[in-house]
Amino acid sequence: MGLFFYYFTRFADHFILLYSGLLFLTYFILSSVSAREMINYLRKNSFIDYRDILTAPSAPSISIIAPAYNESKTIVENIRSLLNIHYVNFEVIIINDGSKDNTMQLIIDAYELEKVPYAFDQKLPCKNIRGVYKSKIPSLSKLTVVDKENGGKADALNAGINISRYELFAAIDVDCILEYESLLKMVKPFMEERGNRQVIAVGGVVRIANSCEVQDGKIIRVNLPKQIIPRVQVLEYIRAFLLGRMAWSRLNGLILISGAFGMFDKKIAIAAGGYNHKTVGEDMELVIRMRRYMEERSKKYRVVYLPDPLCWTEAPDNLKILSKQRNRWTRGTAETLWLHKKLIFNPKYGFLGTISMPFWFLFEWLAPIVESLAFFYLIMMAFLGILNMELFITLFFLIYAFAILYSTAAILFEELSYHQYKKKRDIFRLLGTALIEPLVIHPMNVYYAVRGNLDLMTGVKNWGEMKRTGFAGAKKAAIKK
Amino acid sequence: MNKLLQINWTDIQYTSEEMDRAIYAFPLHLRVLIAITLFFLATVLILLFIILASRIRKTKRAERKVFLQKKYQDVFSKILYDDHPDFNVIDPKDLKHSFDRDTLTQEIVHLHENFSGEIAARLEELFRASGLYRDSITRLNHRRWDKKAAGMREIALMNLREATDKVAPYITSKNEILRYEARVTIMKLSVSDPLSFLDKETEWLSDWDQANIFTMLRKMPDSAIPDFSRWLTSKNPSVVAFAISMIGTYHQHQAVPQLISMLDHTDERQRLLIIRALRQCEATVAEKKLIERYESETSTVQDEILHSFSTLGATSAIQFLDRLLEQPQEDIAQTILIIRSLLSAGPVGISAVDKRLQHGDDRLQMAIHHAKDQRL
Repeated sequence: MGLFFYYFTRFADHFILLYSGLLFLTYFILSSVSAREMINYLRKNSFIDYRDILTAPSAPSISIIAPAYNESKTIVENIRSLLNIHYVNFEVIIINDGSKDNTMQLIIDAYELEKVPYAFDQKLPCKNIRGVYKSKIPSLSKLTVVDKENGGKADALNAGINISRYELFAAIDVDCILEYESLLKMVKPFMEERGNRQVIAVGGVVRIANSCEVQDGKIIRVNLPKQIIPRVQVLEYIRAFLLGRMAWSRLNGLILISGAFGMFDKKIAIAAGGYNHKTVGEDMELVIRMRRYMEERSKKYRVVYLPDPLCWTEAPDNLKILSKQRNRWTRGTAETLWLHKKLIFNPKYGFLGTISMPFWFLFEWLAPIVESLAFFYLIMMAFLGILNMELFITLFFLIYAFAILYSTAAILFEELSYHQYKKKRDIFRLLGTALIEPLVIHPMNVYYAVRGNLDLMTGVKNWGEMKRTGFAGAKKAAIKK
Repeated sequence: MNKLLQINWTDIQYTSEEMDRAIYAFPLHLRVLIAITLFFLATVLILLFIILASRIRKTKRAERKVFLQKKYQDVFSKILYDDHPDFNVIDPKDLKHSFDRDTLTQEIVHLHENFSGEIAARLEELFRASGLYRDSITRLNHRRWDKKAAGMREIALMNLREATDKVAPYITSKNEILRYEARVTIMKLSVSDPLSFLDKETEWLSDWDQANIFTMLRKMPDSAIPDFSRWLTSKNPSVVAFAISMIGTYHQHQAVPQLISMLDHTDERQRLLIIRALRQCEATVAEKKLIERYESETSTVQDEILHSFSTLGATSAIQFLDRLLEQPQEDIAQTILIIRSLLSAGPVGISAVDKRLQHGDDRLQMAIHHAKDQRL
């Protein structure tokens, strides 16, 4: 027993050290690739005039699909914001996914809607559509509203795809605020296709809108959130989007386009089977399935990511909602990895199978599990009085220093690229957040992720509703300050 | 209390030997980990320094920019509206530093974009007289490609024709942005035949490239627009695609017979563009050939043909379209297009649709209701 325990502790010590080392190395490589790609992107696009697309005969048409569930607080304003998007040829499809509140009635009244005899093929499976509505007002001809039975976000998006008329579709959370030129920027990679290399999806940076000033559906002043929980998420989003996804895009290994805002080739999305109802991580699952579809047919393709801040969203501002969100993200990741387990470490799927999927398995899904096991291991060692205190303290400070370094690098990227937080004290507040986050919020996120895995095993299927306060509230708060 | 706070420095002063002993008391692996931790922390401090330096630099630059903008607002207004403007108005002090010169260049270029004719010519004169044009030309020799591209953009916008020869070599550059900027610059500066570069174009012109070339074309007088049929025989498929698209956009009817003969093209995208161009040229003469080709076409091209029939009000296609409705259609969107084509063909087409409304199955009736609804 003693010998077993000796070898077990030796193995555990080395495993933790090796895993941490690999994680550091991976993040270092990703941020290096990201830096290079970011410089290239900024140089390439510094003197681009996106308005050229507006007059181009070759500009593709876009269907914007926005599911809505119990959004009565903000729906009318949100639709107005979507209709004001700067683009040449687009339609806005709002899917009322069986809301229990008066969302549908509010839309009908505000936009003078009436039921129309809309004929369509059900190319993708979705719940029963009760009716399709158009406005009596000719200037609102771009707006289509679909009223359907509740089936979840994936189901609503599939319904939207079935109804849509154009070759590209943008899936967006209805409460998101889009930047003025966001569609123009998103469409450019599709227009840059050369020869037989097809762009199948494009994603962009999602930013946190808490505490920002919003007027007429537009962000008029960017503020750093006053509350610590959304402020930590600002840091997380900068790290994930500017340091992570930019690198994956450069390596053509991106498998996640945020559900908040992404643009897709409709034909490929339909051919791949559309959004999957069986997972709460439908955004990631669709991208993997589209990539898998292309790989299995040996077609050349790209999934592109843009570092421009294109979309602003409200982040959870309390632990209850944050826990639900993180729980859902974990379940979504686990379900998606399980659905596509065939791809992990499978060289037949090229970079996707050998690098992207193993990374997500080892460092996204597994990381919180390893962290929590390591934590319990340390407690056990301390309880037994055999904890190597010197090693523990050294490792703790090493990991803490790396966490601060990684966040500081992200803040530097943000400062040198888009420079969204212009107030002098914002930098110090972000740096302060970087010091606090690993000690306070990160352990909680690890706990929520572990709970997510446990919930998945025990069969919890809840999507984890996000309660919105609405941007009107954000504006008031900012002005009051 | 004071005594408590007094520090006896001799107690905490270590000799280098004692320090070495303290450090080497740790095992090797711990020493390595400590070294890495210190390296991380040192890097944090360096990054922090860069962040703060960048922020101070940005703030100073923003302030300087605002200062220059305010200083030259009235000066530039005089250039624009005075009867006899003085072009040597820029303070030599403001031409010393590259940032100031870049700011002034940006201001002049930005103003220039909003004007044409005499006023634009005055701004070009100011650009030359102040010597700012030299920066744009010097930028062409910069080692960084983005600086070269920016220089080309300024040369094009400010009509620096003397730089044409220096830009021309970049038209075959391996860097796509430089190639594209060179194309646009040559187009802008060329006195005759602005699209001559298309004759030698071997690289693929993406939709984005085509959009940019079209933007430049839109700014040219009608007399400068070439006959695009010249490139229909190009060996570069993307040049052919661009030519087809422009024939439609500029309604170059003389190219219609050539386009009709190209309807048998093997590339689906080319056929799609040809049908679109024929529609834009209102080439009803193509209807017969389109009907002939319909059955053998892909569903995307079929949709485009139907869209053309519906736009052109193709009376000669009524029988053909009515026959199509008899056959079961897989795609309801295509059925709607067929019905819309019939509805646009006048009373005979409308009556054919009405007949189907009475006798068709539920799916067809649904499609007819959809097609007839003006809101959809």
